[in-house]
Amino acid sequence: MQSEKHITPPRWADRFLAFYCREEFLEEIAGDTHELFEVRLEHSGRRIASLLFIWDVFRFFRWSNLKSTDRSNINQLIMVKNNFKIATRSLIKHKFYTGINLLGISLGIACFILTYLYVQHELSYDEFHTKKDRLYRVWVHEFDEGDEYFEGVVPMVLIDHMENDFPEIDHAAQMNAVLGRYKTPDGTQLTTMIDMVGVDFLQMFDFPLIAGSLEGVLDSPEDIVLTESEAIRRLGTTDVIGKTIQYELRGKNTEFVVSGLVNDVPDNSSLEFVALISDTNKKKLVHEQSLTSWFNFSTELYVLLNEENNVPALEEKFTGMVKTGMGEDYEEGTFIVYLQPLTDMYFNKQIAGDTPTGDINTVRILGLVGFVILLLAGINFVNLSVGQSMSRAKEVGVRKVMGAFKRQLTYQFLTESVLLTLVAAVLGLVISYLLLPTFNDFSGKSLELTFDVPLIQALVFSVLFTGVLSGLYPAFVLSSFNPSKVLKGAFTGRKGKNGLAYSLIVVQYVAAIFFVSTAVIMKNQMQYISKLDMGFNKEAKVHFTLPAAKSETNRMGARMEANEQQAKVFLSELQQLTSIEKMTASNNYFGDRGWVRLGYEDRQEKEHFFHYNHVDENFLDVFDIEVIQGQGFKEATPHLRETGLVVNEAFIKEHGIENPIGHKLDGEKFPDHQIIGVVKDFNFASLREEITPLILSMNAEMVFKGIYSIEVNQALKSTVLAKVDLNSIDKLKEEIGAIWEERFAEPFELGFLDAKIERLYEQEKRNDAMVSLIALLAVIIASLGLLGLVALTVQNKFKEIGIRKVLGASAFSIIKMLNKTFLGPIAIALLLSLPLTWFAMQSWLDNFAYHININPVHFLVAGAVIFITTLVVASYQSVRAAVTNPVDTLRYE
Amino acid sequence: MKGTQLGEFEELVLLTVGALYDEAYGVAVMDEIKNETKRSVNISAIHSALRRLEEKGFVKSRMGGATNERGGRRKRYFVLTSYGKKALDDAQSLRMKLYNRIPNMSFGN
Repeated sequence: MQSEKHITPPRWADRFLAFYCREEFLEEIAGDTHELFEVRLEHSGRRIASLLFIWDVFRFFRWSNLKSTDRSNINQLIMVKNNFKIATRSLIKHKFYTGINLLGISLGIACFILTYLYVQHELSYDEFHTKKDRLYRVWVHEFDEGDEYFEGVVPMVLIDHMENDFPEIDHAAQMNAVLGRYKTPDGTQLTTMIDMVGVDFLQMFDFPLIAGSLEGVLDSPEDIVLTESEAIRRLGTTDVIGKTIQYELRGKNTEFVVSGLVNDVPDNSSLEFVALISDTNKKKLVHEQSLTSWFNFSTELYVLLNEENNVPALEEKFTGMVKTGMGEDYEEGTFIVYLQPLTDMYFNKQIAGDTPTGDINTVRILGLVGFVILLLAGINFVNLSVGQSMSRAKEVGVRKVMGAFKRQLTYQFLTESVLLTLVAAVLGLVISYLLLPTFNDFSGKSLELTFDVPLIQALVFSVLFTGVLSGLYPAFVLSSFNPSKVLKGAFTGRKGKNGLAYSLIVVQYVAAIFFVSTAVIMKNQMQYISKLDMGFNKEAKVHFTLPAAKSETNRMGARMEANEQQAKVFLSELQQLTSIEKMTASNNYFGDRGWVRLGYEDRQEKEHFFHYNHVDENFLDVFDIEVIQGQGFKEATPHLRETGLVVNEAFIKEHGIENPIGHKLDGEKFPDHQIIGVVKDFNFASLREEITPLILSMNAEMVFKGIYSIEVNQALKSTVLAKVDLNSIDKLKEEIGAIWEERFAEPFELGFLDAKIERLYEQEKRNDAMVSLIALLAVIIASLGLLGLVALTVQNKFKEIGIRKVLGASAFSIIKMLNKTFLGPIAIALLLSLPLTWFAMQSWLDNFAYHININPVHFLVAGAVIFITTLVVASYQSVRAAVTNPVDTLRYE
Repeated sequence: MKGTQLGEFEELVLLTVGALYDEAYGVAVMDEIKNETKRSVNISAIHSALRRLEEKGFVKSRMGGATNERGGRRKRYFVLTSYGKKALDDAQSLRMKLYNRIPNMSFGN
């Protein structure tokens, strides 16, 4: 063993101490720490003593113990201090311009922070999984009858193959959602989605267990893993391991034992769950047919590849798997299995799965907009600095004569702009904090302003960007003034017409006009949509959906009929209510998630698709839908009610039917039926889409017998739609509620049809609101810039105005002269932004099948808005200048 | 009088310097405080306190002779000045004055 004397504290720590510590204290500090080290060495051993020594050395790292910096540094420090002082003084002296700059830049920064947070959040989807590079979603490219499908939801049969056939796949997990019902202690029934996964799931993804052990956590059918918030909601505590919890799954009350607890799934995760149960339950919860069929697309499937991570090679092997798996059903090239990177899922709208998707274009546009607004704010600063250069020129001259180098002056001006931006950043932070709730409303996100990496990135970037960029011009141009000229007085102002300032103003106004006219066009379109005659009357309608009725068979037609019967009974009880004028019940209604879409094959084996709604005899009447040929159901004989179809104009047009009444569909399997009436086209979906062929019937079974493809967007339930007297709506609500409670256990919810239809355009409304806000910001910033510029122009022309007035100019002509200087740039900006807006808005409007045409009026309105704000802003200054007594301005000559 | 107030920790250090009389240097003061108050203090805190006290004139210091045990480095010894003694006296008497005004009655339960 070594003798104690040779054991010394860590050398680097000792050196660090010597490096930073003042000479005069070094000896005592080093002495004391070494002494302590020796004592501790005896008591607690080398490791502890060394650690404590390092700790002590760091604790001694305080201001009072630090070596003072050397001389040249001190000089620099003094200059920085001086620059800082001059900057503060100059900013305070020009309160007006400082205020304008501050307001503009802080608005710009606030806007940038918000958009940055949004963009960052969208781009961070699924990035938190440590194995994200090797995680893939399995999807199927399916070809069928000339149509191709991108299926993000795949057959459940695939997982066994994935797990067993391929050594390249480390783990595979499918995620099947099952609806779980439960009762709260006060008796209300609630539902939650419960996901069925294998234990692999928790090994693949980063949803770490915070209680319970990974070993066997989802092995038995009783096991359940809860998220924290679900644990608190259901069991009131997070200490839940081993506790039992009940859910009603597929109509059966099932008891689970909590075996694990995970943190809540982060906002930016495509995979969402609140409770996980073991996939050993699948035999119980999933139809046998779903488990074995290759054509039942019902589960999300994810795989983790091994380190080689060779996707193309693996995808090639899948062909063999499909071939042997399907056997004789296999058809070359119709069913191709691919892998999609997990991180690609969020922005990929082509492959349809159950996970949320985002819009990369929105992200790009918003990011760009945030940047543009920041740029606009920066432009203000440059413009005002240029404008102020007159008064600053003398300062620069004097400084140069006194021996200042150009570099020092550059630093001085940069200090000024960075200082201003720093203050603006604080203000911008406050503004963005205030705007955040509104912004969240618009964007549909729940972003928070927390001091984490993204926010700090946004702040640092915006401060550096605006601070340096906007400081560059004044810093380099002002500092290069020739002192002899400036001081002689030859430098009387800017030469020419101020090209830079005005071109920058044009840039600002291009942006401002672009945003304003975009907002005008969007508003116009939304108005157009809400006022458009949809072909049915939505006024004074209420809707409420009845629970699904019990049906003897699981066939859709039968289920619709059962719902219909139940609705009929309910409607007859509502007859007594006098404030209901007329009512109907149907399977789909306006503003719901989409009407049933069916397909049949004609005798030439050609496929035809149509939308379908199962209605009662009053449907057409309640919505004032016009029958243009034949008859509606109301007037029809009982036999025709049973066998009749009512179609829309689009249907006749698509099929080229000349005499529709009595016409039969060309499908073999349809039982006795005929078209009894044709209605005028009405919009049963959103106005984004054209009106498509539609069939209405009172007999669902008849239609379903003849079709072979079904697309359903929501649970099959009957909805009652009633035209009511809106004056007594509260009383009516209670009355219906009372009747409801006698029959159903579910809560009664009554909605207004027009509000429901409005909700179809929520995303557009949000965009519209967001653009309006951005337009407002852009106009404010541009106006601020103009305000400053006009003020400077007026200031520089003070004498000229005085002389003009003495020579007899009227106040009006002077206002005219001043306003003319900036109306030119605005006109140019208007012209420049026109094609830009036209292009952008045309592609937005193309999203709607029914849209307005872009019209010169839109630009006139936008131009007028800009023009009037500008005039108001500018006139304040020009009027003040025009009414000044020339004596005041000329006195000093 | 700004700068001559005695903080609680400063007073403790000042008292310890007084109590240790001629043996008061950083580590010794720290050990003494640890022993008497059972409170854990970092050596750097002691140094700062001592330096502040010296600036205020409550203690003065001198460097001792070379030693063997700490790599030959000298120790800085602190002694109480009369001004420091007076500051302690003042603090003490203020405390006693207030203490004596506590009425003599039974407390608590």
